[in-house]
Amino acid sequence: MATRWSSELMVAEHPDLQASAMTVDATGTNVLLAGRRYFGLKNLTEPLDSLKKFPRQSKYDVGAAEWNPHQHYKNLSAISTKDKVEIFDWRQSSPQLIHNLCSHTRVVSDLNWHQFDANQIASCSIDTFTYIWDLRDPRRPSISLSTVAGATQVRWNKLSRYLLATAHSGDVKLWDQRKGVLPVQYITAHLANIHCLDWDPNQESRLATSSQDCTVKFFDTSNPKKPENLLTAVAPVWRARYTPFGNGMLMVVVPPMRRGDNSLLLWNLANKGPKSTPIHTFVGHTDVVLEFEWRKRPDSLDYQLITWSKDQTLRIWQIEPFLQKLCGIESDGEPSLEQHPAADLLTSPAIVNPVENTVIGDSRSSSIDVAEPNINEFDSSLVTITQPKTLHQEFSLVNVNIHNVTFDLMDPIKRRCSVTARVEGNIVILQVAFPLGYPNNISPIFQFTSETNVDSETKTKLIKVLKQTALQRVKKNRSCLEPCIRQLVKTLEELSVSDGSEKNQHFHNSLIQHSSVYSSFQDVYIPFPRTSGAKFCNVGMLVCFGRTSSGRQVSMRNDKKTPRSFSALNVYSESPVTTYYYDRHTNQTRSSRINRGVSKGASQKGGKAVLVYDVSSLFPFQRDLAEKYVFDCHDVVGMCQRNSQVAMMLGRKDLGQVWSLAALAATPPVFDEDEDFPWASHPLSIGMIHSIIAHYAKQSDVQTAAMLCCAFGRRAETQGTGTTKNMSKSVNPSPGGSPYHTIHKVESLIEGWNIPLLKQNRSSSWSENLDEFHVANLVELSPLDTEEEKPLRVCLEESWFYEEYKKAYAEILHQWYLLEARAQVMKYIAHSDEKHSGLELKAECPSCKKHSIEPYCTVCQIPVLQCVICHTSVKGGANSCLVCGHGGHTQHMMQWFANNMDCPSGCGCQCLFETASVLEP
Amino acid sequence: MVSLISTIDTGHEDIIHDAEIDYYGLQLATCSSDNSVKIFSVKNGTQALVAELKGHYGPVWQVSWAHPKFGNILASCSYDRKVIVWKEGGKEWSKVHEYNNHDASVNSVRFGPHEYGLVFACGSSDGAISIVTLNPSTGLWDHQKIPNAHAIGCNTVSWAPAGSLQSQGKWGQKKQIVSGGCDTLIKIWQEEGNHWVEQIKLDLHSDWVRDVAWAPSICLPRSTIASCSQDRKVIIWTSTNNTQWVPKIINTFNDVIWNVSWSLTGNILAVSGGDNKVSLWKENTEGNWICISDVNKMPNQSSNEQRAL
Repeated sequence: MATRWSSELMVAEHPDLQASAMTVDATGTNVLLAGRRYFGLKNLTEPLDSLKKFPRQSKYDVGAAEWNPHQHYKNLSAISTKDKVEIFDWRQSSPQLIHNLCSHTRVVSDLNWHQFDANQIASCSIDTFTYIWDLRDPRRPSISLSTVAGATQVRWNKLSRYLLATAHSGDVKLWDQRKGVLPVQYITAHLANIHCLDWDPNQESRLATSSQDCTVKFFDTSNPKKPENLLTAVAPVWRARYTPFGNGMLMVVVPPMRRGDNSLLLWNLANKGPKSTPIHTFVGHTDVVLEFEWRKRPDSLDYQLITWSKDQTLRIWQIEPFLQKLCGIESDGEPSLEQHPAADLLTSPAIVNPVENTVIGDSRSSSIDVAEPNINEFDSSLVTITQPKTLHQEFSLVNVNIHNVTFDLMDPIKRRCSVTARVEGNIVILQVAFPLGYPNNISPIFQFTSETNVDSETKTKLIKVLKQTALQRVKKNRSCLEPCIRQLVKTLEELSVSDGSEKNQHFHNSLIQHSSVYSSFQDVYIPFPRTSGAKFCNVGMLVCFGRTSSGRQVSMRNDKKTPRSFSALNVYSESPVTTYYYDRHTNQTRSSRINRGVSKGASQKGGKAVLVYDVSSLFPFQRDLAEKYVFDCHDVVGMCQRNSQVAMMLGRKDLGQVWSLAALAATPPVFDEDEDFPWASHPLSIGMIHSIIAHYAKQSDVQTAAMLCCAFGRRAETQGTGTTKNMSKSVNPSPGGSPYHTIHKVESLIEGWNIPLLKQNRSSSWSENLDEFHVANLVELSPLDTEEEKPLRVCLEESWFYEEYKKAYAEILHQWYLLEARAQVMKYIAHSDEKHSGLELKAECPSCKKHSIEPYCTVCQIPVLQCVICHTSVKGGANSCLVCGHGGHTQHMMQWFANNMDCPSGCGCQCLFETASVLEP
Repeated sequence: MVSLISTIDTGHEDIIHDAEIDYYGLQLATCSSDNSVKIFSVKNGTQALVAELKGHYGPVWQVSWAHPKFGNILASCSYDRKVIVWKEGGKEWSKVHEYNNHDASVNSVRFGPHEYGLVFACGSSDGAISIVTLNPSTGLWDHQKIPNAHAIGCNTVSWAPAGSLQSQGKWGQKKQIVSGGCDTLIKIWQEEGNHWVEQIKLDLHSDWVRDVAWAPSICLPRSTIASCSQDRKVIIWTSTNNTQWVPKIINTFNDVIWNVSWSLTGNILAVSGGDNKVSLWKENTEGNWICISDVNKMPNQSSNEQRAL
């Protein structure tokens, strides 16, 4: 009936090729058939041209093959074989291997060229990695996508250049290649393995998955929770891809136990719902169809379908406009599908395209006679798709590849079957007997054999589950074997998982207890240990550590990127990191023998040395300058001149010049009647200083910038007259004892000292510090205004980053341990934003002797200070002697000391004198 | 010229994972897969083992020195999920605090600016970041936790310098840290009251971020962060307002990059990674980052160490 529109069908048989993969190139002219022993190349434009065979010396079969889809690179084809991806160039008479991409550690399951970038190809493997390769640098993958489950399929999106999908048993992961760490989307698509993935060629967010569970599901990636559409087939779906025309889908099913029909089914996706049936069937292959491809002939509107089957025949099927219309394509203003005379075909079960006996090459081929019964068989089977009527049919339709389950026996005559389920050591052998009336409201009878090793409680539970499942099905007169078996396994798994989680918990606990044990458990997320590093420390030190050279060279030679996570290490070895690098080393003994000879000692120790470099020469500031620079707030010109000499002396002629320039700028002008603008606004004066400071700051020369800021800046307080420090050269005070106990925010002390102290309570480190710096000197530094006293007419305006330069320089001086120079610089800093916190007032509770900063002791609830005059507790203003500690209400103290010199308590302390001597030299 | 001051044979029984010299350049701390931390005196080019600190039960990933105004204090973090704070008292080093509030390996620990008191931040493979502060009045260690700071895990933390840019604007003296993780993101966090709030996400790396370093921004009125990643890139992020960050990829290296470290003035960046090489980078006047050296630090080759400026 259908012969009128299946005019062109070609069949070519190539039984000797044993090809496992087929691919059609970008132009649709060349077909590559790849097998273990041969490549076959066939030109489709010359139908009579026999196939060109190229021997391929390999022990391994070809997993996947694909031509580069880009016009300019159409001569490239990629094939996967074992754990490698090979790229061949076919421009010459024979294929040239141009790239061998190896990084996978187990069999490569699929590959796919990038749809937009001809240099990129993705490959996936059951080693859990999906790699994206750039052929411009084929030594290693440019991106690696890692998951916990092996990947079986990889497909680039046809519209978005960054998106790709991978299939992992029943799940689909979507990735953005710009962000390869985590999948952007995760779809739990099927319960059984996914055999094929395909992106919608017209809509970026849609993809279809076909699975062992006999369904094809359609997902919208923006809403992946639920499939948008579902096609149900009679058998596991091996391939399902969108048609290049219309809204169709071509599907290849694998008939159970390889008995039955090997046809290709064409669907119109506009017909949604469970009732939809294929609109066309291509019948002819006598064994499983391995691969199909589309080809558009440039000279006509027709598409051709090229198929390769396990029966070793290549067939070409013509897809005429009529068929395309059935898939929803509209052209030339013809009436749409619904009005088409053939529209009634949509509702008919199928149109079968029988085989025509046009044979190319070998004359042996299937004939019409063979095809005829196929039609009948198919028709009848289609009727029973939705509901197998006999037990025989049900058995033949049962998907025997259920995880953890083996079907031991299926006997439709005795109406019995036996199933073994193994889940984590639990073995359940179930015998099912099907009474005669089954499945019309009669459940099968379930029984466990004696080999079943689960306890009776579990058994009861399982039987209950099985009966319930069966009952639900047979109530509607439906067969129930497969759902029952699936439910059984599921329940069994759940039971063992709940056991297992307790075990895991236990394991987890033991892990914490013995955490010295390396566990690969969580190591996937722990970054790979650093084995080398460099850190800037102090002012000009660079601390480096690393592996020894031999280890490094080996890793370079292997040309592998350092792994991402700790789990890459051999977790059982005693010192995994060392082993990681040095095992590789021993594998390469011959090549690195010379190195070993040189660095035998070092390589034995495995890089346990730390190198400290002096990199201070990389920085513009110098310690010797810092040691010799002088400060003088009264004689800016002199300060600049002296610093100029210092710089010259130390060979820094550039800085010498700068300081002389600064001296000139600071020199007050000779009084001149004609001068009508102040010197400060002269372009060679303060403006120049600003730009010099800005210049050095930009160069990171904090030293020069900060020193200029100091010279022209305002000092927070004047020095007491006659103090020797006025013109002091800063010298390293080299204090005794540990340097770490010193607190150097000396200038901030001032604030602390005009509060009357109850009792001195300083840490030992503080007293050391104070001794060094002579408290007296500091006390003099009262915050007087300095503006009048400054002999200088130029003065930098306030700028917060000048303060920053000074602070930064002070920090550097601190790290150099040039404490006096630092103190000098700190004096020029206007606002010390750090509040002094080194001294605090504490009182000792008279009863419990605990220190308290509150007026009441928190423990004893009694006031800690009693006025020595009125013997009541003091809450308000208080004064105390710094030496004997006696004191009280400020009022009372003032009255007392107006007339007396010694302590009101009668302790004999000369309070006024003693306190004064603490504060003065 | 860059010169080698000293080579310290640490005597660790396994690979070293981190080394740091203290504030004054006097003591070196190292940590290793042999579960120990060692402290050496390196004053004036001499070297002597001062202490070997044992207390971790797994490889020790990182060490950090506190500011000396708190005393000689060192923090170390380890695979054993702990951070230990060590302190020198007299001539002896001892454990003063053990922080074990993480559920997986602690990968990074760094002390904050001394202006904030004695405080450290640590990031763990459980995805969380902790900020642990010594309360000076009670002597107890308080901790704040940022749960799920990074999906999969947090690999590195770094403190914003105190003051500088922040102190001038509306930022006040709020503490800020930057962190990087396995989710390829860099995140900036700010303390708001009792909580740490995510300020911004920086998203350019395509693989695990291995190290971040907030530069001391003293010479220019801007903030700078360097980050490096498994994707072999080093990125410099700059901002003048702490809200818009401009990334610049300074280089794509041959192997993964593990460390970035700023010099004291924030103008030179040291970069090191899986290929065992160290390079120094500096911004030139055109604003491009150029490599100014290649420190080759193999012990047996250190003599022909050279630098091209």
